[in-house]
Amino acid sequence: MTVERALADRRLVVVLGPGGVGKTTASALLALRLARRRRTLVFTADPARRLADALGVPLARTPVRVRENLHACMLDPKASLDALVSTYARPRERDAIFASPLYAHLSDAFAGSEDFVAMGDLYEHVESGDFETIVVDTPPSRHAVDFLDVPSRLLRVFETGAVRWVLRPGGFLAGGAASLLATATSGEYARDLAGFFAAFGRMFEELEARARRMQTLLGDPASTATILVAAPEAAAVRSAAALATRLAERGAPPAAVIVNRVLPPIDLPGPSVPAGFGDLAPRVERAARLYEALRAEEAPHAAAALALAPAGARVAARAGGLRTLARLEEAAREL
Amino acid sequence: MDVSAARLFCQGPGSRRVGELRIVLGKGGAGRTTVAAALCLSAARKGRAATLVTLSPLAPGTGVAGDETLDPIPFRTLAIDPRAELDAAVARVTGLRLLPRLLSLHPAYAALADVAPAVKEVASLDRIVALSRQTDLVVVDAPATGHGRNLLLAPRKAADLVAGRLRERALAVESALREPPCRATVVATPEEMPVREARELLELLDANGFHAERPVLNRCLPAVTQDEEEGDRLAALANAAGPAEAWAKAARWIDRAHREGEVAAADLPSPRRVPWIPSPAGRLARVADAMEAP
Repeated sequence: MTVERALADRRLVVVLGPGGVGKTTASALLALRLARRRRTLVFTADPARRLADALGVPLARTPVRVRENLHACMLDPKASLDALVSTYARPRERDAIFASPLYAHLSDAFAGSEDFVAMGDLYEHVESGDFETIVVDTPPSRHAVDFLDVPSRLLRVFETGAVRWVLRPGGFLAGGAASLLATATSGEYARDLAGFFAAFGRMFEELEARARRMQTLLGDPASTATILVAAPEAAAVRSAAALATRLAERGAPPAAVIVNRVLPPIDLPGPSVPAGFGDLAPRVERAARLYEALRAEEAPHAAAALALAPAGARVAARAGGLRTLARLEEAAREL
Repeated sequence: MDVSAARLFCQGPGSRRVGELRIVLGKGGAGRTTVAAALCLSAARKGRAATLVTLSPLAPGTGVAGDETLDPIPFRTLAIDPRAELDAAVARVTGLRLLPRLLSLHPAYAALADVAPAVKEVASLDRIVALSRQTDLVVVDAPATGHGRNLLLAPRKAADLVAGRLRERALAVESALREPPCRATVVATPEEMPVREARELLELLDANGFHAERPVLNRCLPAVTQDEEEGDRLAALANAAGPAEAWAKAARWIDRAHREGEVAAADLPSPRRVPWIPSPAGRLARVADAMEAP
């Protein structure tokens, strides 16, 4: 089965996987592949220079055209957040937000705030209707599935009443459990935090509405497909397996698994290196044996990673040396 | 500093022992856990008491850093949950023993504790610094990439943001992290992105007054050819059908990966090289050997 068949005509394709397995490259390959039939946007995290060079356009927060049917944009959390505040906060709130020292550290304030901000931009691209398919390369997070949970995590904050509660005059400091946090960290800190939330209040309403929409979209298997990227090594496969389990628990197992960085299959004939290598023979022998050992080590991990995919949606790829758009396209055809 | 400030976290200043503290940083998949465990193994070989600290629970039944042959493990392992550390610190200052469990059940507290910047990290680091004063070596397997960076910068951020007791603790933790017994080790594989992140981390450590060890370049492959002539010979054999073809192709893959890796790693200042060790059995011992090499 081809990747297109596995993805059918989903509007969102979310690429998930542990850190360091090549999610960004896999996303670019997928997008190139899908762009043959559909207007596609690839929404990447910070790409390697080599990949950015291969795409051949300077990536920015707003989509730029790579070629026919394919646009690309890059996650820029700071710029996106500034834009969000500028758009939705009232002028006085806006000044208060920008002036708050908490705002400068907001990237730490929200667990996985890059995901959160990415969700805001993603929402706009979905709303714009400019693209038939959006491939989302997820930013690094402690738990890779966090990205899909951003809307519900946000909604949880709204629904627990924490926000309304700090917005109530004197609520944060007068309140029960949260005032313990205030005792432990000093009153000023709690007041700063409360003031900051108050300034964010109007934005929260807007974000709440967005979060609900995105939750619906991400939770709907007819609209959203997930692609799991793994590398053939023990730790990456363990993380990928945990991820697959969580996706299945959500009722939406991955549509396909891409095992990246798989060594090309080269089998060594004969017990030892044949004639013809001259003085290179001992070095070739050592290197070829090392290659064999690396393949032997990765084989069970690659198989275990592929087994995480529904039958027929298994893809093994090696994305090394992709320096040009032509090479990227060639690799995309192999998916 | 008032008494309650010392009571807020588990350890005040003035403990007896000043053990070594090592924080292992790097991009996901670079081998932080392996390098951190190898540092502990290396210390254990010298008869020193070492503890490997992770900030997320180790997956059950996985052995230490993919080496199931290490039995018994000659060092302690400890998983710290940053949120639990914060809850415990809050409970200590309020003096209520049952509080941590009650707190985590209170949705409003949970929501606010989740979004409060830097305090969870400071509570965790405070525990780690205290631990390092009770043993010879504590090695922290820090979270990947940005999360590792945020961990190191948390005390400064907390000190900038808050006043009162937490600020004092944050400053104490920060100065402990800047003392020479605390050093950071940055791990990368010889590839563009891991090396780029390693360089950024080294610059950040330097700019913030932390001590850094030589970076570790993990999973290095050996060179096969030494000059262009040898490279051409190998390429010719790899492109001609015959019994030599597969051998030459495999060796050439290693040779090219080595060369690409060297180009990618060129920007990393005097890295300590750890070879790519194919078999998980005994891997940790061999990584420890490479880390001990002069």
